[in-house]
Amino acid sequence: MMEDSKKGDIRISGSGSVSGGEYNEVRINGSGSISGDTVCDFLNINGSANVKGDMKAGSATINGSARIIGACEAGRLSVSGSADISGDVQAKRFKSSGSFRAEGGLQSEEIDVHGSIDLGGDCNAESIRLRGTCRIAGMLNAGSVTLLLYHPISTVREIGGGTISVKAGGEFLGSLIRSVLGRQTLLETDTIEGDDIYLEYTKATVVRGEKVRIGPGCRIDAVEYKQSYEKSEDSTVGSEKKL
Amino acid sequence: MEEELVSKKELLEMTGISYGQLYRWKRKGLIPEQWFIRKSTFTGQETFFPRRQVLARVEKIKSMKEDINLDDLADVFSPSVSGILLSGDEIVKRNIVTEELYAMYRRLRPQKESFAFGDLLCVTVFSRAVGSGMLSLDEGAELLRLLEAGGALPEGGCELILARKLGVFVCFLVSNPCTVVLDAGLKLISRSNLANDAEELKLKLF
Repeated sequence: MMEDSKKGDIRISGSGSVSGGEYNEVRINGSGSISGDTVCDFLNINGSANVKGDMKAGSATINGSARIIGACEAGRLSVSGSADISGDVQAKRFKSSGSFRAEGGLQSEEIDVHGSIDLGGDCNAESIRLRGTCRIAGMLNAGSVTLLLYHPISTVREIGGGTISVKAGGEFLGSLIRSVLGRQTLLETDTIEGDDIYLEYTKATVVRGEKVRIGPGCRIDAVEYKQSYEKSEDSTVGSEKKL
Repeated sequence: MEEELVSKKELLEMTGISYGQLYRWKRKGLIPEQWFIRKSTFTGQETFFPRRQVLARVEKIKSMKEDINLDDLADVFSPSVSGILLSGDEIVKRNIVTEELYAMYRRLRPQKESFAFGDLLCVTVFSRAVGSGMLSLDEGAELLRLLEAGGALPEGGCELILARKLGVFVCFLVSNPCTVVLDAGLKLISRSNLANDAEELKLKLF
C-alpha cells in the first residue's frame, strides 16, 4: 500500500494486449489479453479478457467473459457472465451469476451462485448458497450449505458441514416438469454428513447426521442419524439406523 | 509399521464432537487433509484417521477453543515456522525453559544472542532430554549439535531417536513417516516427533 502512488493503471478500451505486473487498476472495456502474472487492487472486465498467468486482485469484477490460465486470488470476486479458470480460486467473497468453471478448487468465506459452477477440486466455504446447478469433483465442505437445484442433474463427490439443505428450485414450473417426467433426481452424491440435513430429489449412498430429514424424491441407500429422523413417503431409503 | 486407525464414526462417538465441528476444523486446517484416509469397506467408502494423532489433536482443540479463535489456532498446528525472534532473557521469562536448564544451554552456546523459532526448538528439545535425566550433559551437547545441523524442521515434522549402544550415546533425526530398523544391541532411550515439540513451543509463545 505504501507504493500506491507508484503503481499505474491499465486501461484497454477496444482491443489490446498488455503484459502482467503490479498495478493499481486494470480495466478492460472491450477485449483484452494480459500475459504474465498480475497483481492489482482492482480488476474490472467489461467484455472479454484472456489472462495467461496468475491473477491476484483486491477486488475483481468480471462482466462478460474471462479466461484465466493460472490461479486466481481475490478479496472479492464477482462474475456476471462466464469465467473459466485453470487453477485454484481463492476469494473472501465469491459471487457468480452465470457460469463459472475452475479446474482447481474454490475456497471462500461466502459463496453466492446463481447459475452453474463446475469445479475440478474441493469447495470450502463458511457458507454457500447456490441457485442453479453444480458439478464439484471434490468435496463440498461448508458451515452452511443451501442448494436450490434445477435441471440438469448436479453432482458432488461428497458433502460435509453443519447445516445442509438441498431443495428443488422453481416452485411451480419445476414441480410441473417433475410430475410430467416422473420422479427426477437433481443431485447425485456419494456421502452427505452434517449436523442438520434436509434433502429433496437427492440420490446418495450414505447420509449421516444429527438430525436428518428426507424430503420428496430421494433415493438413499443408508441413513444414519443421532437425534431425529423424518422421511417423506415419496422417497426410498435402503436402511435406517439410529446411532 | 501400520498405524492404528480410527473410523470417523468412532472418532465422533469417542470425543462427542459433531460432523459440523469436524468439517469446520478441517476447513480451518486444524485437522490436516492427510489425516483423512479414505478406504473402501463393505459398507462403502469410509474415512479413517490416524488414531493416536487425531484423538490428541481433538482433545487439544476442545481444551483451547474457548479462549483462542480458530484462525489463530490453525497457526499453532501448522508445521510452518512463525517469524519469531526472542532474546535469551525472554526464553526464561516466558517460561520456555527453566533458568537452570537455560544456564546449562548457555554454557554450551555462550555467544548465542537471539533465538528464532528453530533455535528455540533446539533449546526446548535439549532441555527436555537433559532436564528429564534421559541424557547426561555431554550427551545433551551431542544432541544439540545434531538438532542444529538438522536445520529447519521439515514440513510435517521429523522424528528424533535417542539410543545407546554399549553405553555410547547416538542420536538420529528421521524425516517422517518411515520405518527405522535398529540394531538389536541398540538400547532405545526415546523416540519422539519434533512436530509435537514444535506445537507445544508455539503454545508457550502465544
